[in-house]
Amino acid sequence: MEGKGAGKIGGLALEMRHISKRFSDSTGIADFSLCLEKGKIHGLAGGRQAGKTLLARMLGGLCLPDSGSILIDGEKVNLRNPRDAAAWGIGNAGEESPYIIGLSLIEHLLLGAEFAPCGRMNQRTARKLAEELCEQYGIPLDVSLRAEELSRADWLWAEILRMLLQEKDILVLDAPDEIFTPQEMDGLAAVLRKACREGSAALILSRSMETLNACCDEVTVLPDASPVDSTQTPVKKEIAPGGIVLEARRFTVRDMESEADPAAGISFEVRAGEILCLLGRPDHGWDQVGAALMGTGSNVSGLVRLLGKEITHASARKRLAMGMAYLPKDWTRLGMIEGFTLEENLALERYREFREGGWIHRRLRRNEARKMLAESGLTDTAALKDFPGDLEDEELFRLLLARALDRKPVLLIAEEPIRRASAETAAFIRETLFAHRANHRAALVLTSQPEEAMELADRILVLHDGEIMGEFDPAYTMTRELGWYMSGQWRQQRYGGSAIEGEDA
Amino acid sequence: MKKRAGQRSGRRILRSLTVFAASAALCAALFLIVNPRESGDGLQALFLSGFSTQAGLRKTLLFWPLLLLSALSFGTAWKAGFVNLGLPGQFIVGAALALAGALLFALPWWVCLLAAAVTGAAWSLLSGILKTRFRVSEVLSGVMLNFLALYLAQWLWEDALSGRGEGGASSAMPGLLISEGVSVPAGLFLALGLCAAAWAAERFSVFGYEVKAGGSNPEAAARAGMPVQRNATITLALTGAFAGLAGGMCVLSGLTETTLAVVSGRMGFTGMAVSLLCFGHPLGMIPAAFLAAGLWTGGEALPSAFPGEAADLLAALTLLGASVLHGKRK
Repeated sequence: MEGKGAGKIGGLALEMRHISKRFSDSTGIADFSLCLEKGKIHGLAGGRQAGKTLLARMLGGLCLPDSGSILIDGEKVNLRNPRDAAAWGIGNAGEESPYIIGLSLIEHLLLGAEFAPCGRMNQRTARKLAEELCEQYGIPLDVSLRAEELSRADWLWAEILRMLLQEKDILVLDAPDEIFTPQEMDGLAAVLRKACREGSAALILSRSMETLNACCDEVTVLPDASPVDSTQTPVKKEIAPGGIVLEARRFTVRDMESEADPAAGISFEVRAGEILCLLGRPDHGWDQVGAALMGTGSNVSGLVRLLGKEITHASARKRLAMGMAYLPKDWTRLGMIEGFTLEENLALERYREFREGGWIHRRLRRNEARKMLAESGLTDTAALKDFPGDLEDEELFRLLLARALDRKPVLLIAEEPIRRASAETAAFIRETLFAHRANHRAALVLTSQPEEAMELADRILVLHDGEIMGEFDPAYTMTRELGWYMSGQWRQQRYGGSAIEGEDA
Repeated sequence: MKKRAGQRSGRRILRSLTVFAASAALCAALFLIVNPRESGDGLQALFLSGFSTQAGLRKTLLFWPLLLLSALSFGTAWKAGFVNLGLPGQFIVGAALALAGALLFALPWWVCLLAAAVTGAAWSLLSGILKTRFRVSEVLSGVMLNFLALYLAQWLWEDALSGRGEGGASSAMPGLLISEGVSVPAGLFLALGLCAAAWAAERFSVFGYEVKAGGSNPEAAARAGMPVQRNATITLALTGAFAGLAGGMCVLSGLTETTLAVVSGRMGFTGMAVSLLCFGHPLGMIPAAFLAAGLWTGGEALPSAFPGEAADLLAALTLLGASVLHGKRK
């Protein structure tokens, strides 16, 4: 709290000098320096594995640098654990902040605070304070909710509110734009600017230069990694969409545990030679939609047709045999089996082809697996006898892609295929997807990232609360516009009365 | 820095041997502390008498298939994603049915064994039903069913079977005499055959592939179009059958000196230790179960200065070490 008293704008709030940290798998950062001025919003851009999250973790006291020093208010500090970081006035909010089920939002806001023991009295005070802060800074958050009722965006707001409530001077935000829509990022920038006017400093880490340029005073680019530049549009061959591959009518996926259904009676079709993108909030149950379309979901109703045949309740086995393929975003959960070798994993979706009676035809399987490995371009770095855990996530994703496309599926369903990929892998995935499309096959991409949808899709359907908000052609749409429809503001304005003009320009 | 498969299994064998050696050393150290003067004799009895003396070897050969089947049962369940703590219960119901068949109806030994296997499978499926219908953890229901089996068997036995010993002789399991006083029980061949079959099924069959996939990642297996639920049910029945078979063999081979409560409990956790120590490899279980059977026999032949539970202590230490092997290092 002494930092607040000394709140002179212009001094250095935080300085990182020659920070290095190296991990055994040769990732990390080398000789990184950064100055964070009081009263300014600083952006830090870097691609995947450039070390953004690593820096955020260092500032959060979750890992120590190998060499180099961190200075706060000109004083050298040693952040050994989160308590140290909190004591030095560093607040951290990121994508993976956990919550404790059963605690109220107010109790969460008080976590780690240096208030007197949390009695009832104190909670009431904190609540009043929180409500005041929300109003003062314009944070769209209802503090009476329980933690598990919050969406991911709400939760990020709560984290930010916690930093303000606990009077942190240095606000570190790790990749907020992966959760917030562009409009909410504007709101965030306004909040941070207000906080900075009172002497705080903010650091936003992100992959997207565009986002940082929009809301920061100055931007540092992390060396030796290229941030995703979404302004550069990839070359996509012009082809006329063919016949309907997948047709969904009044397609509904209910989620018994949440109020909003992942899909509430939506209708759409995917044509041959087309990439259709379903875009919605990240906490929107994409995996449930994916499961429903791949035949392992529950509470599905409506009508789904693949090439004219009804498959609404068909089994996964039947769908795979009919030429559907699935590309999950998280290989550990849905794509691969940890205890299996790559050879066994590459055979996963089509193991029935490699059998003689009840036995596995190993030679056939090995040959096919070798072919897929070559297609993914990983022959030098991976062997069929390796386990998935031996490989990097990106390499595994390439393998999943090769496996999915090896069967020449008529329809590929992909979850956030390039969101977490490095620039190089993203380019590979884009090329592969476009080649798939150029062969007059269809793809359905489920994503929460407007940039990703703009890059890949021929058409974008924006979903909010499981309903289609509108259809967009990326060639005539701006990323901001998508964010506006995603957050449901469009509907509020249309039906809620208080229309704000000029937003759709 | 990639590990190749050959290196991996080599390292596993080395680790397992280290764990066993460490537990044995700890056990020996305990012997030295408890009674330094007689510790030499005690250690010799524990570690060697099961293999060197004729009577010891005879008993070891009787224990071997039981442990092998228990380990196989636990290992198979483990591969399919279950923790089969209900093993003693399955063992007991198998033993009870085999005994009833032998004493009440004087059935031939192989019919008794078949009945034991079927009962074991049914008992294990009870856990399965509780799991799929009511989402009860198979660990919890398994342990509870153990008690149910034990008290049920004791009660029924005392009522129905006391004083009916005459029918048993015709149902005793035959054996192959290899030298004077030492015979290889028929059950051993059966157990070894099942081990080999399990290994082949796991490694080369489509069913084995499906079960392993479903056990380690059911969601991914379902997405790949595998009948996860059906396979889990079949595997549960198989594991119960293995344990029931072990129970049947136990009574039919005339191992009646110790009570069923003690044998079944021991069988459960020694089998678990063997299975975990071998990383569930069915062929690896063959020598490991032999070793454990020998130690068990040795434990019963200990001089009076040492408790008969020494072999169990060793098994418990090994089990603890083996579970460390399976834990994920941070």
